[in-house]
Amino acid sequence: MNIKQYEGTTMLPVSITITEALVKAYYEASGIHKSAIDQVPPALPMIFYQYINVPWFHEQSFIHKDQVFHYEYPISIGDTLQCTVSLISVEKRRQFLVLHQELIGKNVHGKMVFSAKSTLLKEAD
Amino acid sequence: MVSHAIELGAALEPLLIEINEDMVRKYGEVSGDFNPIHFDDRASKEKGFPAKIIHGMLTMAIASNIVEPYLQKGYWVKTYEMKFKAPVLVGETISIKGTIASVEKESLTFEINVSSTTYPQVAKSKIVLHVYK
Repeated sequence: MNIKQYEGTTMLPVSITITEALVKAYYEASGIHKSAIDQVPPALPMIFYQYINVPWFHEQSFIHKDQVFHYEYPISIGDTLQCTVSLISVEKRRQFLVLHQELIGKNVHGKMVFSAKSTLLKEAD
Repeated sequence: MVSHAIELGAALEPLLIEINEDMVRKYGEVSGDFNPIHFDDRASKEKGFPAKIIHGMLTMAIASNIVEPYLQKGYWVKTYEMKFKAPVLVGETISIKGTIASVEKESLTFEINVSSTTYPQVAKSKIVLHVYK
């Protein structure tokens, strides 16, 4: 696959609602047992990728190098966010392709709630 | 010295968690990430790892719990970053340790190190908390 062709691409927004069941399942996978869920874990938005069609992910395997979440507002159970994924850049470094991509969640008023910036590596073809 | 005091240099209560196959399966299910390097030793070895490895984002999901006592004191997570330095094999125990690196009027910054049975540093992280207003 020529991933470089997707550089600069932003996928169409997908509406995602944060449910209590989703947060519970996430905590369970993390081995954290909570009697009451009062906050949404900060790294949870990464699981939103499964709801977004990201063509440069198809049948590809990446190594995750860096991850940064930044919140403008805290998120809560029941919130619905409009989420988009953009492939910011693709660079070749030695035998690797280095992808910089960003997942952004906006609220119903169009204000950015969070950004999740990822740096991924893939062996170059 | 471990404490929940809000003072520069204070050490956080460390976390020690064994990452078993059940956790990796559940993280795969909740995230939709079924990359075979997390579930199949052979697939992982083909990519140069000694055995199947956990999702990097599972490490990140677990590590943020080290600041949980501060979230109970009226803070929320403003920024959470992690650099992944080495893989964690399924079945290994990770140790998460942290200190308060900065104390401001409305924010706290924590520096966190994650180590495993094999590596002294599998990830390093920074978390910035802000007070609820």
